[in-house]
Amino acid sequence: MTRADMALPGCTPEPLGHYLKGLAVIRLVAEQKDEQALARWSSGCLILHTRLEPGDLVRFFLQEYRPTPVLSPWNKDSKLWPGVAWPDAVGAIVQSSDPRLAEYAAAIRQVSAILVRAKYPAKPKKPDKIRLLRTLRSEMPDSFVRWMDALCALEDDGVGMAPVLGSGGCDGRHEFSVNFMQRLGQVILPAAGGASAAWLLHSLFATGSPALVGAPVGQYHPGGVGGPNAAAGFHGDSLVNPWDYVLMIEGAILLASSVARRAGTQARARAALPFTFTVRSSAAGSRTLGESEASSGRQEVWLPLWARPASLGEISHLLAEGRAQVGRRSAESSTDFARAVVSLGVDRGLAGFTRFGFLKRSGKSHLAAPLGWQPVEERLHVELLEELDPWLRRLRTISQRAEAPASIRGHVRAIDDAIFAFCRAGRTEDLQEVLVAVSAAELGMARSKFGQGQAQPLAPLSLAWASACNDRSSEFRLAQSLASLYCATGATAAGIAVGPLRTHVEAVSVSPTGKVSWDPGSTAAVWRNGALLDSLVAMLERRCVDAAKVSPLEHAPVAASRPASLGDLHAFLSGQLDLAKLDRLGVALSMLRWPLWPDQRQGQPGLQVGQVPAALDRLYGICKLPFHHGPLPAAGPEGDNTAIRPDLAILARLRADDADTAVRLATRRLRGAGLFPVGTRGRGTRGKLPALTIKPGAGAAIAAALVFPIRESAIAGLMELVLMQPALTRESIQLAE
Amino acid sequence: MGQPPYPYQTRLAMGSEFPTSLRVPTGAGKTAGAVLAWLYRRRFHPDGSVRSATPRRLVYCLPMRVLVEQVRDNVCGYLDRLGLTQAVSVQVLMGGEARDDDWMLYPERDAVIIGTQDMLLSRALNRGYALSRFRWPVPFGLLNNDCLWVFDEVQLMGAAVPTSTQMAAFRSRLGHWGPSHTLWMSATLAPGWLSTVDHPRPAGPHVELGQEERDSPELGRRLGAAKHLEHLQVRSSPKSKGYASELAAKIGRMHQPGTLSLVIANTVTRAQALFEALESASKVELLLIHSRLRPVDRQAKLERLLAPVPPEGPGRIAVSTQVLEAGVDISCALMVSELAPWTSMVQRFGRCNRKGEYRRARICWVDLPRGESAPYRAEELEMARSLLGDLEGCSAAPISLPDPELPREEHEVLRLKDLVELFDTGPDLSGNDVDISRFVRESDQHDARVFWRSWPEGEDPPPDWPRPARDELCAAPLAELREYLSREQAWAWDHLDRRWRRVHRAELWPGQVLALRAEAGGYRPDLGWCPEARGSVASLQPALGEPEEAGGDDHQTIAPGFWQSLADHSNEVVARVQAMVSTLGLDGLAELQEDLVSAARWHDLGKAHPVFQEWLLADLDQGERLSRSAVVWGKSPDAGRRRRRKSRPHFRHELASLLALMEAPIAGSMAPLSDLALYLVASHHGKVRLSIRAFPGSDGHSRRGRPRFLLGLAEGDVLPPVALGDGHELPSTTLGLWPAAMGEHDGARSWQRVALSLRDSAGLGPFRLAYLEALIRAADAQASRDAAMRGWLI
Repeated sequence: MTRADMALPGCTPEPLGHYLKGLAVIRLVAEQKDEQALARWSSGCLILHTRLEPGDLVRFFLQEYRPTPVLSPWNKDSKLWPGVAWPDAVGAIVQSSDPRLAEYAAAIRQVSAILVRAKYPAKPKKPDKIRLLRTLRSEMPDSFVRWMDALCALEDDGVGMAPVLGSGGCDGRHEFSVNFMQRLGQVILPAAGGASAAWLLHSLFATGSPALVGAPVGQYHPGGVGGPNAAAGFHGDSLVNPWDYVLMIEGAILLASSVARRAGTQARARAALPFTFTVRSSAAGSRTLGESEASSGRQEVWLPLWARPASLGEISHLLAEGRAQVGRRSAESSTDFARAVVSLGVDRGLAGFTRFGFLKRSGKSHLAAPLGWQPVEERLHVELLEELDPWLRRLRTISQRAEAPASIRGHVRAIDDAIFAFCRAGRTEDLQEVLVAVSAAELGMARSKFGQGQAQPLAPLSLAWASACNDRSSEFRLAQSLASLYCATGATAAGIAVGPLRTHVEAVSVSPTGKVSWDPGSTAAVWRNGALLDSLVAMLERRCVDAAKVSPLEHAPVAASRPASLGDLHAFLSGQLDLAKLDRLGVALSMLRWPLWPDQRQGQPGLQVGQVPAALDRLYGICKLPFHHGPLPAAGPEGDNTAIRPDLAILARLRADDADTAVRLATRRLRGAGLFPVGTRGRGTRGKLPALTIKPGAGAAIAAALVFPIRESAIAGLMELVLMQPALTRESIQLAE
Repeated sequence: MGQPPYPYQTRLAMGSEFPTSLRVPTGAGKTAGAVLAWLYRRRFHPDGSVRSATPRRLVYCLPMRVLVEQVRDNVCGYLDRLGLTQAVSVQVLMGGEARDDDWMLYPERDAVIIGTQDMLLSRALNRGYALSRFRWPVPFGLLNNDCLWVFDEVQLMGAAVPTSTQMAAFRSRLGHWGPSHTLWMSATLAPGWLSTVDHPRPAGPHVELGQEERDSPELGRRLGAAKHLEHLQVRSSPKSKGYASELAAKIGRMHQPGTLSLVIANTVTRAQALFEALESASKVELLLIHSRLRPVDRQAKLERLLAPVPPEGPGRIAVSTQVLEAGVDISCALMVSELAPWTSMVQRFGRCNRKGEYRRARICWVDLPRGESAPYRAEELEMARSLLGDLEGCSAAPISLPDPELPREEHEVLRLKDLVELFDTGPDLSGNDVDISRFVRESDQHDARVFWRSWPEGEDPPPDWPRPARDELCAAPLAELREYLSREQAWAWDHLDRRWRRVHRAELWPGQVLALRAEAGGYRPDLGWCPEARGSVASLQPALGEPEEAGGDDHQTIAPGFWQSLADHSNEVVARVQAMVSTLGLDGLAELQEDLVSAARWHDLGKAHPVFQEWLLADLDQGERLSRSAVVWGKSPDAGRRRRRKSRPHFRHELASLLALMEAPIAGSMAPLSDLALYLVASHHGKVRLSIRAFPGSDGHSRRGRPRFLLGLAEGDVLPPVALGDGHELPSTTLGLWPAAMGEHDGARSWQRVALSLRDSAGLGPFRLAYLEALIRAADAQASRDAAMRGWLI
């Protein structure tokens, strides 16, 4: 038998109702007509792969389709309760002799009998409702069990309701089962006539424009829904294609959760949601959702689109499992889901997901609003986000508290947005932004009493973040050099005297093993956002002062595991860099777990003289020598290393653009160690100084640049640049004299 | 055995049909009746058609652990006396059993499998408690085909009853190999209990005692044994401390020297308190028996309980809970019991003056206020209270007890959809196992199993620990464990990371096995599980034993052995499968022999993958490696290999087999195997079944410039040419990962579609398919075990 593709332009990925129609078509066709039918999403609609011709498909729905018994007797508006007159639509089905409706009629009779037997009260309380749900799931036929599993999940002590089917099959006053039966009456009972065919063609193939009927459509079709402004009157009914409604409900049944989802051990322990690809809503990554809508506890559903022809078995397995994993746990929030989509969790040959949120509109009813499309593509480094999870979960929890400052909610939102953006585009910059948002939130917590009281500081993140965030820019490398500053002295009883960069950006202390804890009395936290140069100078001063408290200051405490290059420093000094970016990245990278101590196992490499950019500012060179993190390397083969102490006054002079004094102070230190800058005349020639100038306002940058750690080879290069060669010093000068 | 059978027992063995329900009073020999009837019909019945219509396995399901050991002893006794200990194996399933797998290894043999409802039903539902998830399909297949299920003491089984009836219905609806039958037994069986949505009230024969049996001298004495029933007033509230001491004082006064008194409390906590109160109040020999004891301690106590009481001595008082309610063959002169549901009370009465040997037997019942009904429902107690009120001062002999209509209990019923979904055992990376406990036992009675060992403080337990042995395990209720974990710590095995991982108190689930620190306390040999006990617990860690299995292991088939080529291994598994099919002689199985043999032939094809071959050769020196690399190996002697990881994490050779077998026909290098053969190849370690999932961590992620992995396999991997014996060869094959994705790929079906169509096919269905999985795995394990044995002998 030949099979062919049949496009169904009426079944599109959006709105939700049209997606569900697509599910209904493949389900009903495969179950009732062509077992081998396949379906895929392509060209913006569902493509059915079947032996049926379009005419056969239409005839199937009009003449053979047997509706699933959809009943929600626990809803008051279902009107199935003992002593209540059945609505006409219910009566019509029960009295019909049409074999297509026989199963439906039997189900109605059975439900009525159960209601009578169970003495279901007229005003049921929640336990009554749950007991009824349990009885129905235990006693009704299998097709009814599927309908129930699509809309609710019974647990030991309660029941969860799937948002796709409102709240237990009703949304406000809109009762799905009664409407379903009414619409069925319009399309398959004898009275339907020719209108039904026209509606069906419109519903499946988007052809023709039949007159629609006035009826509620529920949450599925925001464009066509009524509401306060859609029509005159208080509750304007919308215009609906009855087949659309019928197929929507039939399609939603395919979203039935599996026992694995309903009865998962995690579902109970961590309140993961039991329904197909359903997560808690967050406003992140969507312009449609307002903060209040996201926080109102509403859920959202992510519905998959697949591009290869799949059987009903495959589709229902995918939907029933409905699991998206983030690392080792199920996705709980929309941000998790975005991550799951691009990591392993959803690893099934899917093209992407459409995200629908259920927004509260007009009174008690909701709308399923499409919130965007997330393609399934692999993103490098998405697994790094798992490191944030414990801290982020805590942050999310406390941000919901009434007494939480609004800024914390803002930070959470910013992190979520950054994660969404990263999942969408996956660029290095996007991951940087995640880290920046995280560090901003951490600083926000550190600066608020509430934050310090409610959470621990962010545990340092792995160094894998550094390589993943490396955009190969000078700003990144300089920020990294700062972030990798070692603790300069050993630990004392009070802790580490001079800590890593993290201790300068927020009031924390770092233990010798790397544990970070709040330290409200910290004097080291001198970093001020947006004032990078000031922050860097203040940091250098603070490190020197703190180090001097422990032992006499011999070197500037600025050693690091990833020192900066002179090329990047030249770019910094010549004003080519984006200082705001450097500022943000410095703070961001300080959150990583950098080594706190030099690696003792590494031997000292042989001294090499590094390349020095020709245009490097010599003033920086001369001033940096006293601010090196160790003794200056010996120049000759048998020379000794030269100890030289930093002089903080140099910093102040540089910031005042006073080049002469700065040079004088630096030269004094150097001469004391027997080193002579080019431009002096060596030993015994007082008063002669290198003539170096400074552009107005540029001194601050030079002062700030002194804090960047540089390599031995770079310092040797600087020495070659600014010092007289040994051949020219001592002996040669004495000889000359 | 040793005495002529009661007529009803004869009817069981000789009747034209085996009955569906059996209702006889306690002490009338139900167990012997059922077991011996099965044995007779299976092995001795003169009519061959009866023998072949009697299932190969007897699955004896009991509500409580104490009963399991007793039934095991009885069954072993019968077999011993009949000289059948070699022919019929007896297996006990109570959790943590070190060698509980013989019946799974030899599915062709007759076996009696005795276990608790938790252990047996969880296995029948494909979620075996205390069993590696990768083995779940094996007992699922074996327990749902060719089995006679006997549910004994049904009145105590709660949620398991509807599950048992639904499973019986599903077996007949979805199909099974060999005969299948279920017998429900109880002293108080209401036929309505056995009717659920898919299982109408059984039409099969129902067996009860006939009048002649009631009047026979032996049974008549039991049924008419007098026991004076009275209400014992206790002023203190059961919540208060005074309750235990007040009750203990009264018991001390009523106890008759030289006899046994039995005290039954409804909760372990109250039983423990009573025990401690009696300890300080009396000099009588005291015993405390409940469900939360380690098997060694429980066994020792049971032996003491069953030992005769010296008539001249002070006598013995046993304090217990529901565990002594049923099955245990003891008889006391005084019984003091808290109010319990009517069926439980009837059972408890059965433990008093059982054979009519005491003249002044007394039963005192203690009322409980409405708020203290747990673990029972208040309505159940209400009904029992009123029935007991009517009997005040009368005898509670079995023939004198009323037979009220019992209300139907509401339980969540297992539906067909649930069962079909449980077929999938695909690993959930988040540790989110399906919690089937609601279908197995009442929700407030869920236990985890704990064991105590010592290891350096501040560290996780070593990953190569012997897996916990049955004797180490003690049941602990989840609620009390959570409380315990607020101050102490627990570890659970993490098969993904192959290590013991600390678990948070919110992560507990029923059936979980947890390691506790011996120094942390929580157990006393006399009291059992007792979270408040602070003293150090004796560790019962076995000196030797298999470590736990991780995601990449299957200890059954990588037993230490010797060098064996892949072709030789394939030949052996083929031979095993052929022998097994012919021994089994099941209707319809012979028609599938070709598929089974193909699966056996090709199952380890993927071991030819360079990653696997390198792993086998890794420990060798250069010279030996070169000389060995000419052969494609199936097995190598184990030399610390188990601890070494393959060069690609999560590598699965059976996935390589599957991908090659799906690719080769497309490339034209071999004729396609049947869907069933493909499935059996993929599933032979239980790790590639319905879905193929990447693991977190290094698997699945593509690092820059490196290919993407799926269970250690990459797109474009090449399987070298392989010879699998008997002329079966496959040229070099390039593997594609397309079968793992959803939907058709160039007209070829996805793996999942193939697997789902088998699960859902009318000719196979979930039970039969899993049974075939179990056969292939058993044949593979038998062949590997034999190879290992030969390796030892050489």
